[in-house]
Amino acid sequence: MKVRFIFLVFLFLIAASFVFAETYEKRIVIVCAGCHGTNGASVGDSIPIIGGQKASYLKKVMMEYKNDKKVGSVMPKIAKGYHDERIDFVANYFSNKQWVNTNKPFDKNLADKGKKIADVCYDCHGKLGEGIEAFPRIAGQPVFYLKQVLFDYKNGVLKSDEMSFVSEYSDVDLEALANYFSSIRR
Amino acid sequence: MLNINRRSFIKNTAIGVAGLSIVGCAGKYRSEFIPKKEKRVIVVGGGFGGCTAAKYIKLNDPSIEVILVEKNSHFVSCPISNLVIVGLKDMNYITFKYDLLEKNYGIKVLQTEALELNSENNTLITTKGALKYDKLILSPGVGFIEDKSIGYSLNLTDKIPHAWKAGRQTEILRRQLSELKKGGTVILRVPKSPYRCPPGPYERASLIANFIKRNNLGGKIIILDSNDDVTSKGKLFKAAWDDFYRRELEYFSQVDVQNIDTENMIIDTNKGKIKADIINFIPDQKASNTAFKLGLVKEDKLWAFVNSYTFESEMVKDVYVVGDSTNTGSVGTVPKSGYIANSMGKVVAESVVASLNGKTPPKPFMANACYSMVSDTEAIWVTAVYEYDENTKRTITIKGASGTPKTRSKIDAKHQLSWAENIWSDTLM
Ligand SMILES: Cc1cc2nc3c(=O)[nH]c(=O)nc-3n(C[C@H](O)[C@H](O)[C@H](O)COP(=O)(O)OP(=O)(O)OC[C@H]3O[C@@H](n4cnc5c(N)ncnc54)[C@H](O)[C@@H]3O)c2cc1C
Repeated sequence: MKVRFIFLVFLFLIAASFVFAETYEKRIVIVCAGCHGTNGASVGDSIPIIGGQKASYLKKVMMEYKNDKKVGSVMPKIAKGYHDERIDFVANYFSNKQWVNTNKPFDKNLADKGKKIADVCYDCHGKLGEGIEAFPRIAGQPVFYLKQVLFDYKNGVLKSDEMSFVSEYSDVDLEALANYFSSIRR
Repeated sequence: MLNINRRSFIKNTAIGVAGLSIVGCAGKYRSEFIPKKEKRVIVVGGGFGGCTAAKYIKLNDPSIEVILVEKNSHFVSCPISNLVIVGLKDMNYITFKYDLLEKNYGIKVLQTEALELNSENNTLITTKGALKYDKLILSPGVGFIEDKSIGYSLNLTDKIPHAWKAGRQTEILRRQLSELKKGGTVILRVPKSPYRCPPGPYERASLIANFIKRNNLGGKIIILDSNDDVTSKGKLFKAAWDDFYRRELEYFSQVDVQNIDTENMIIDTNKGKIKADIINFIPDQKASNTAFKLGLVKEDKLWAFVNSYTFESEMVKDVYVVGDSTNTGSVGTVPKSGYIANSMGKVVAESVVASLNGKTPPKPFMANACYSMVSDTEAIWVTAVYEYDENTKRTITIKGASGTPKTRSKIDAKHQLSWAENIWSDTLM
């Protein structure tokens, strides 16, 4: 009887600490929604959707911002407010949210053009731009955001070996790629 | 001067309260409007703090009844209103209905004004009747200080608009600016800190200078700052003024306005007299009149003091205050901004939901990100992350997680609009 009671108390404590951890975790991450939209479903076209994004990508990006390995607008500062445990919270929380596609329009002609050259992206981002592990989902992100990122890689503002291929593409090609992946809304 | 302000202001408030209790006694307002059945939270103020609190209470515990009390039919955003004033955006871009809060989360939105508080039996008196609550959250924004000794009364605001609350005033200033004659002078007075949105006046001045330049008006904007220096993003604003607006913008700090002659549009200051075509006098600020009427501001104080962990008022039990009306010192190191009001809305939502369910809420954690345009194409920003500190019992800036950019940029102008669209969606949709 007594054992059972202790066991119940034990179970209760586990449950309580789980609930508390969950609220604490949520507490740390919901401030992000002010810029990225509720549940990370950004409606602004230069700020990426993070709800439903790959956890390992979110973690990698936050670490890069925090360690000044990646330039950005406010994020290199904000990431410094997140020690490693908090970065895990961010990655867990938002990756578990449902992906909501951008509501910003894309250009159909450019998207068609982009589709013809998109296979260069498939190895890392998947055939539907759905993302693979630390390579982000790009399907359904706003055109403006994708275009900006591609241009930043091309102009050396952002650096990455995997993305170095963009230097061989014209601006119009990159814009076409951005439109194609933005147009995949599933 | 501050003393005179305070005294005349407190007198006004006293008259206000006396007037109200006569109204209250008439009976009509006292009958219960929507009978309370379940756990109920009333939120007063459909701005950044109030809407966010209402929405996040429902997200945290949908079983709680949430009533949002707002006197206006629409939300008009102060962020981006400076762009509307200079014609870069339209009023409809910054104007929103409240219907999605009702539709998406089941919040009851009541268009009515909160008049009085009966804290002994947890009742709020509104123009539509009395409402009982378990918890009452207020985010009523700021109030403006009249100063008759310098000829400044809020009756004059149609002639010399402050446009520090978006809506009608924004439209008046926009019209005045669109009619500014060639060679005309605009005066913009920066209020004494603390006021809502520290960089706001300097963004507005930059955009007006840009408007004058773009339209070849040959006129200028003169900033009369009552503070010692530019209160936010100073280096970045000054660099932009130096690079772009040497002819169009003049900046003076430590200016005391001694008289405003609206008949002849002359401002008299400790540094001399200036004649203007447009006077954008942004008055000194305090908590919203609502916070005073409801008894949430201590005697001789201008802002509502709160418990920094829960946001419960230091004056009245079960009543919580967030947003611009709070004494930010009692909260921590946060500024008065829409982003902070949104952050506070989330903290207070957790605080009241936990309290109604017999739990302890998690420690406060907040953030701020605020963009300002310095021209029609480039912007700057300031950001910070804050956490609750056990030693000081305040929510303070996390070291290293705050700052400004090295320079202005076009992409940040784009981010400003994306930021706005996202915070509107997080607050209202
Ligand atoms: C020009 C300008 C630019 C700005 N730009 C930015 C920016 O870029 N970023 C940023 O973060 N912040 C910005 N701000 C600041 C931001 O607007 C405020 O900090 C924010 O609005 C504060 O939110 P709040 O909920 O406290 O008050 P508000 O948003 O003002 O909401 C208060 C609401 O309460 C209602 N109310 C008051 N009393 C009653 C009553 N008795 N009954 C019913 N309803 C009542 C009012 O009608 C109002 O709707 C700017 C401000 C200005 C003036």
